[in-house]
Amino acid sequence: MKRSALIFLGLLLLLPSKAPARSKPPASSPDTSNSPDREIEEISNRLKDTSQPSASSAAASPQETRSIGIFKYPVNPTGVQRLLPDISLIGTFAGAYFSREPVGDTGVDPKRTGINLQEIEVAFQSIIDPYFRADVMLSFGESGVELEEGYFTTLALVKGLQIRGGKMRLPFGRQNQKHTETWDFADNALASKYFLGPDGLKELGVEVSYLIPVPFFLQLQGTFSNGDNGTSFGGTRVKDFLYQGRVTTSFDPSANTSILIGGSAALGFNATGPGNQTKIYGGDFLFKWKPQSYRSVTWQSEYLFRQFDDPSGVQNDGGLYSYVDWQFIKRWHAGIRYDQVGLPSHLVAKEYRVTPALTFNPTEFTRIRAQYEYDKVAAVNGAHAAFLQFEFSMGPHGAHPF
Amino acid sequence: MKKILFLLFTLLPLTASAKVNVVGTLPVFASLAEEVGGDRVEATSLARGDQDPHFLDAKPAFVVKLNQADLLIHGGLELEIGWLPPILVQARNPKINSNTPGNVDLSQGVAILEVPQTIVNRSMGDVHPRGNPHCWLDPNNVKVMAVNIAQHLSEIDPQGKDYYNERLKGFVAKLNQRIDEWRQSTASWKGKQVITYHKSLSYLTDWTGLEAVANVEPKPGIPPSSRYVDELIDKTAGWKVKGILMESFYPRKLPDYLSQKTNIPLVMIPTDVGEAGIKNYFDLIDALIKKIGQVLS
Repeated sequence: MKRSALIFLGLLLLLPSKAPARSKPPASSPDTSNSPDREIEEISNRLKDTSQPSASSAAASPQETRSIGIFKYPVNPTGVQRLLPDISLIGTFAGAYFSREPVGDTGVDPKRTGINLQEIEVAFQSIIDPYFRADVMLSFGESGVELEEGYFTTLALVKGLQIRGGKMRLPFGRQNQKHTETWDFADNALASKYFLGPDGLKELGVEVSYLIPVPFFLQLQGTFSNGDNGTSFGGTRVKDFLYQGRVTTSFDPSANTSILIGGSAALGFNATGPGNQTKIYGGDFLFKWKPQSYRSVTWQSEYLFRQFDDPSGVQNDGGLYSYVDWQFIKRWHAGIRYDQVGLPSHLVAKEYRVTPALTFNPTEFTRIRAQYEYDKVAAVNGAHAAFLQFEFSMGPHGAHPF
Repeated sequence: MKKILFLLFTLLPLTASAKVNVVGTLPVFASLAEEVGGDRVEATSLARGDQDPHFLDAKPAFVVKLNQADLLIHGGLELEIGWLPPILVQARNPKINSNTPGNVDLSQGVAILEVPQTIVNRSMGDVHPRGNPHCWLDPNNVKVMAVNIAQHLSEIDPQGKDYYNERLKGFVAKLNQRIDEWRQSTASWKGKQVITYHKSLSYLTDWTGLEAVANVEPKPGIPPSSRYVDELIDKTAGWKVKGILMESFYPRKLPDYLSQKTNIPLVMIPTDVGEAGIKNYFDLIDALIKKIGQVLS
């Protein structure tokens, strides 16, 4: 005991000189010779003083700062912080070559041979109070800026229940809910583009969702929105609203694998005549195998089926995509996607597309992606396209959605 | 439909449990909750011991666990920032929202190392702006964590307060006794040089007096290039490095190469509970001391 006490004293003397950045708590360092009672009391008092996150370090170093991305704000030692939201910005550019130039609205996809600004997205995100958080994302394109999403989310309703309201990407399938920077390819899936629109199904509306308390993931989402989407909806009467719902289930067959299955439906009115309805149904499937922290295989597939009333009758169209993304080392992904629309085919021509891509993420905050596409529409000759995409992200760590 | 609903609601009571349902982001946090909570808690973790705590998927199975939790224990200091925030929102569980009794930030009250003293930007790599979060590898910090957990448990389960305090006392007493033993067995470590893969061992080196002369990662979170490793090989000539310490989830290729070229042994070390034979915090530190001790002597 004597020897260990001496060694401990020796260590105590030596420690401060080799730990320059250490922020000492206000109380003296706990001494192992103390009785647990006294020591626990000391720690308890210290914890009471630190009712605010990082207060222990704030008390120790007067130059304590709060960092938001690359910015740094001094925090008043009395604990007053500036309550700024998290601000982040993600820029996506692509050099593109098309053997046949795209026509019409391509959304955020590269639109011409040459250099394309796909999107600069600016996000403001914050917890508002104990009951709500809010997320606002603005999307700057080559021709202007639009509100990508802007919604509040409840945090403290009855367990399992949540309400979101504002402008949001509706929970239809998987691709539609994802922002450009979380896509595994440089451009949108064909079926999603043709049936939900080049910019996706984003509406002003309200979502009520419920996580059903069973031992596996089972989630119901229902949305009510204006239905302004010009691709499949956009009914002309004031009360032409869009009603949409989704059920998602997920389970882990083994420690390293996850499966997610979802079904979505949307019912609204289109602009081809008063009362003309559009119904879209979708099914999606995701399989992920992640044997190690930096290796994974993702297989994602989705099928969309649309019934579109127009003056000549009910038009049935459908389309699917299926892709595999393989993370073979920490920073590298290889992927291949197959797209087909025209299953069945009526308003939308039969088209298929094969898309291999290779992605390198130097860090979590930058991405370089090379992608090739072979696209064939009905009887027209096949077309080739190639992209070299670059993406950067500034600001706080964006968490990666599943 | 009615049948399904009926089935769902009859299943509900099965999922409910009389015990306090504790979810730790890492196995070591769940294990500390078991030490303090004993029979009154049921503790599980999201990550496994052999996974990099920075890189987990925000998968739906985690959402379910958090939805059913009475207490969430996380490391704080943005350790889990890449995956915990979205699942916490999706879990729709007001009991464990931040700054509620059901949410334990284990970094509170702990002496934090490597708090940046300059303006942080990401040319420094993935630096945690509020300091190094791997603080459970210093047993003195674990005392603070245990008290923190006991306080939160007592708040959400007041009937168990005396029980938790009794167990906390027992845990701290045992920890103090083991700290004395660990100090003796690491007394000769002071000043001995090691290379660590990531900055995850700063607390261990700080506490034991080991000197981490370099990291295999050139900057936190940035994998090394072979050129960087070649430079490192040249530098080792001027050092007396006894071992290269790395966790099993990092890629082995370049550390293996470094080890071969320099004849410095590569030691795979655990930093969390749940790896082979490591059932609790004491096992973890025992295993660390044994594995590192072998190359130092």
